[in-house]
Amino acid sequence: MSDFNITVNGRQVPVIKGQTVLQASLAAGIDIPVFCWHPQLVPVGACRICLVEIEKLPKLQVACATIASEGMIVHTDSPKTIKVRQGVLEFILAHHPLDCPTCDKGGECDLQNLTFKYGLDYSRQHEPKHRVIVDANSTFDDLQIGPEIIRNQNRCIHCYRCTRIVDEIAFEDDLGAYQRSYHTEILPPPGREIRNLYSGNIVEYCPVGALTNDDWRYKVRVWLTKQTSVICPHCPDGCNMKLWNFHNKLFRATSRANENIDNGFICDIGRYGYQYVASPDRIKRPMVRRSGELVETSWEEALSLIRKQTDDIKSKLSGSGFFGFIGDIRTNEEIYAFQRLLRRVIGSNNIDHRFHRRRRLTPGEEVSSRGIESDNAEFKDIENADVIVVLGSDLHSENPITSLRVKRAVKRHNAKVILLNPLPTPLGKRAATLEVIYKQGTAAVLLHGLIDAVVDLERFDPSAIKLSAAEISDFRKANAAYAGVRGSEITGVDVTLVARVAEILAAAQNVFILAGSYVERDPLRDSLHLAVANLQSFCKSARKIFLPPDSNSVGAAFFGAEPTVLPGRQSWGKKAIYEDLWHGPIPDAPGKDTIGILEAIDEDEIECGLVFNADPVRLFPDGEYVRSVMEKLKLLVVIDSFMTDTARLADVILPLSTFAEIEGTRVNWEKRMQYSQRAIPPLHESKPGCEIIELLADRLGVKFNQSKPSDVYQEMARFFPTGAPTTYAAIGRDGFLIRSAETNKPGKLAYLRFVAPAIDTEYRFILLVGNADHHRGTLTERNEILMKFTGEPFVGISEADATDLAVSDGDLVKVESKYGRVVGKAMILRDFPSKRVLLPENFGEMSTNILMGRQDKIDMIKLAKM
Amino acid sequence: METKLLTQHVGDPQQHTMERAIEHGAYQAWQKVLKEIAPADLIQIVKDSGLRGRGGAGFPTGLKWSFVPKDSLKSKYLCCNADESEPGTCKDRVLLEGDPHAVVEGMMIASYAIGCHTAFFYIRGEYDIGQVRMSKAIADAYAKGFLGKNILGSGYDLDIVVHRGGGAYICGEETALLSSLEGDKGLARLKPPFPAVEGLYRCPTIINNVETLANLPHIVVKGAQWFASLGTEKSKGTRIFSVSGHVKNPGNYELELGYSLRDLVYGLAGGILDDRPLKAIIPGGSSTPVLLPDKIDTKLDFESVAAAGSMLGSGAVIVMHEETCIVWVAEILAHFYMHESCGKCTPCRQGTGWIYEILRRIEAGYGKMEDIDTLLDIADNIEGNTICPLGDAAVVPVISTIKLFRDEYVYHIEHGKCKVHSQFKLRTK
Repeated sequence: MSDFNITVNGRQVPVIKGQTVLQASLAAGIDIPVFCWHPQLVPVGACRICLVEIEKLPKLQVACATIASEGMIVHTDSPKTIKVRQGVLEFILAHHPLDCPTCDKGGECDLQNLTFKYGLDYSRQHEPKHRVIVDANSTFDDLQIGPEIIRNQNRCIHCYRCTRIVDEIAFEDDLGAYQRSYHTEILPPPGREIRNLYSGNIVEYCPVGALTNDDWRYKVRVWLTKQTSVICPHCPDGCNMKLWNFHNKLFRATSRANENIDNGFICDIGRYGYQYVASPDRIKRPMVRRSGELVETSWEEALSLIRKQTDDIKSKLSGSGFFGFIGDIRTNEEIYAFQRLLRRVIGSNNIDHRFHRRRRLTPGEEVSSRGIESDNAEFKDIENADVIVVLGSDLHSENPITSLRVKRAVKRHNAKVILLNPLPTPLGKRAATLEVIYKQGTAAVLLHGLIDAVVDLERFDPSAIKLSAAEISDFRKANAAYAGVRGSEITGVDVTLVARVAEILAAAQNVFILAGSYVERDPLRDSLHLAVANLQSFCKSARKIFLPPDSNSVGAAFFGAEPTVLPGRQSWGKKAIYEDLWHGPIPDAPGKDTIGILEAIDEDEIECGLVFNADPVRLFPDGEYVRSVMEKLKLLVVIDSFMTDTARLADVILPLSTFAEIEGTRVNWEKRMQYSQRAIPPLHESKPGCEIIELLADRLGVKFNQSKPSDVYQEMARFFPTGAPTTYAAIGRDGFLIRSAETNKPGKLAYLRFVAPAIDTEYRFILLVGNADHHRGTLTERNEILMKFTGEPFVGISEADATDLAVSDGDLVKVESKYGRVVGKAMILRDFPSKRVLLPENFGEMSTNILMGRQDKIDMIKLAKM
Repeated sequence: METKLLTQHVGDPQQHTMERAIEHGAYQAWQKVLKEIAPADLIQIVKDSGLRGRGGAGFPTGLKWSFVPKDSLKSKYLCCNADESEPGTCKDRVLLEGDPHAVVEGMMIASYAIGCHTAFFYIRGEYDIGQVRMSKAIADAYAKGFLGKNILGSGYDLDIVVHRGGGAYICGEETALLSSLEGDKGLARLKPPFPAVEGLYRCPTIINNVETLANLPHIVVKGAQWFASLGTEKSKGTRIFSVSGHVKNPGNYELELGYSLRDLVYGLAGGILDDRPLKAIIPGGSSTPVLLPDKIDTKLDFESVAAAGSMLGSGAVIVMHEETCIVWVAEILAHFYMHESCGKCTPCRQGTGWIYEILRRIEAGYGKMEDIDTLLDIADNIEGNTICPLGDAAVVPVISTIKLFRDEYVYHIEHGKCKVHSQFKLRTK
């Protein structure tokens, strides 16, 4: 493993070529103090605390930036080194306020710890300490520099970790070091504040208490808190976090550096996301509907009511009169137990987790027969790619940490990033080489045009790909209608821009394609999936990932929350295994998916629903229709933590614990299974999902004796690849990958048949649904801190349309479709294409699904000033 | 006797114009280089001439050029460092204002030698006339075809870009200059990598002083042998000395290296103001150690000044007569370094300010006897432990004045007042 040895303090220390003296020493367990160094940042050698003596060199050298070379003899504890170390500490402490008793960093402060370890117990500094006074009436020199971040310049030791994180990791520009000498101040640029999506990291990595944030500040001492290791439930990246609680109250979340995933940097949505756990809006006790009103009741009464009513329905319609929805953010254990409850206890296969905004839930024949799914790829593969194609994804908001990997690839080896999106996204200005904006619904045409442009290039080398000359020429012939200018007329993308993208793709050695939510919502989703597969075939070496919509969508699909597959993605033929395992029969035929379920309710074939942390009324297209259908149910049982739009229609509500109150496993987009601990006991009268499901199963007649997630996990473990851990204790820091062999079956290139949707002259604007800054999905609006960043919904329109409609920022506008209308404040977006409207999906007061039709291919709306 | 090589035509009020400069032989060297000399030969000529950098460190120029990797596919850059900010130094200024074409021609020759096609001229923000004249000179050179594409039919392209600094001393340090040139804050960078290998935009970069570059046309025209005949064995050529302080005729004097310090101070500069006794001399700018009057016969070349316990530095000779409070001098210089520290690394950022505060206290009459040792220890903790040489420079006046004038510090502390300026700064307790 190691290339050679160096001598540190007389010990032989193995070195891998390129390592610094510090890295080699730390790996060997030799401690060298640091302030400014961070494993993910480029060393700057600013703090000078890591100065060490290296023989044959006249001066002391900073261990953090000195590359170890063979035969080096290093002393980290020589008298010279110790004197300088104490000198540097003395310099830093000279003007550092000794306000440790009121400083939040106390107890976990690098300066405290290193002074304790290496410093002197007296000071020669008699001059008055410098102070940057913010408020003359206060001894706390706190300055609010962003919605959540507070700076105390006096405590700053000028390690520049914060500015370097913002610059090198996040590619943002909202924090800098101003002035010179000891006057150097950490500030956002004049007139701005620090509010980027990764801003919380600067607090976590500040070695002293100079940067603090509101959730933790002046609230609790660190040594009194308990830490638990959890997995962030907010997006499919699956960042590792620590939750810090004191007396069962959560105070903050920090990263738990996992090089496989987050490298120690988490986004603000994850960092402050835990706040919804303690929201006052939580459903505290079970509720039942009495004479039209939902009233609080006891668990016993609620469960009895469910039993009584389900008996009636079951005798009338048997199991097929029931359905279940489960949210993608639940743990695998809950998903598994829930589908088992439906299949085995109730006898219904009508189960789905895909009530997101999609019209077509299951891929068509052409896609499924070719098995076009995400390839087996990891975060690290993004970093190694030389060209990264982001297709139909606001990666910055939807997968913030994947976005950091893309930036890292740019930083490390200048990877080219190509964005193909229906709207400009934040990643565009920060890391993109080229940003292409296509007309919503034409992405498949764009990709085919792009392939044609690649083949057209001189440098295109057909021998590097696995296609025959005949295949290529046939494809080009079939593709002629989408190539060049003809394609450009459909997509609205300039031919020269397509040619520039093609240049980059043709030169690429290793392409990584990330397809996001706009691919899933695309009216031609199947064609687009096939087009992505085609593009992959034309690249020398490419991988593709279809990013799942929610934090555990992969787990939900794997553990049977779909009507047509059994846990472990087993087909119906393997039914006997499950009947054996669950000691009883399960229904013969596959069940209905979300669309089928809604239609069946409408036709009175289904009368009872179990909705587990799901909100189809808010999310599935044509909200008014979904609401009217749900209202027809004889019994609607909602198991949730919040009063969602669906819960308001419920007959019985059971309070559900949130991610911090349960343990369990989650699967991120890499298909990496990770274990999340329970941080605090369930709040109020809520119960963890597995316990609720066991109670329901017991009440409905089948006992599994698996109310603990660990019991469920043991049963699930039989579906894992061989060698996977069968107990929680055995799941390591890296988790494990639940992937099958390569799924892609070699197949012919798919030919596209594109028919432009008919344009209704009245509804001329295309509706695009996205995320507001610092929001993702529907949970973030329950979060006080994230609401500080974006507090209300908006209607994003282009500058040109704003001029046409005489609308200025903040004016009320009406957005109307054939199905419904919403009203919101206009927000004029720079560089936004005209005839498009962006609505955030994060705010309950402006749900966007009521504007969408169930059958429409593309959502067209009209816009008017109020 | 001055040896006027670089400053030969500086006195001519029209020398900054293209016509007058050409009359005086400007751009002959450039034409000769383009026609006759290969870059590798040019580097050898400069090596043979023994030209050493005039910025302060005195590093052999030809050797520096040869560090540029020959096989690198990256662009190579030349930066002319005209961020002349060392207290007492104003030698570059006379060249920029008095003979800008010589500097432009020097930049051309150096660029050609290292294979650079875009050269940058970094001038401190306060040098207004210098900037105007240099920009004009460069524009005129473009008009004459001395710059641009395919210069004089040689196939060689060169552009020169003028960049005005924001007035920071630290930007005279080469890595900070590069940061500033790239549009960042002027902060020093870690070395290695050295700029010759990875400098501006992470490409090989050579940074040369104005005076160094101005020597190049003369070396090209008159030959390495001729240049090597000037000066001493190891210090070749001439240097412009900026004499300031307590002399009758302060100003810039161009001297052959090896000239006597006594002849400069008492001869050319006309002697000490009011004919008072000499107290101390700083021979090479504020960051070089102080010399006592007994070193007045030192020869002004790199080796002799080093043997006397100081450095030739940037050639700024600061003369102080007997009525100079040395603690006050140290305080003023300490204030300068505190103010100019970039704030990147700890010892310099905190140490320079601390030194200043202690000196101010001593000078104001509130010193303690242990302050002297504290000062020396702070200086020891700064020296050699910073990213760039600013920290090393900052402690020089402190260490050298304490070493040579400890009694004055002690007097200040014991009596609460100054031995020299007894009429003011009394302790008021």
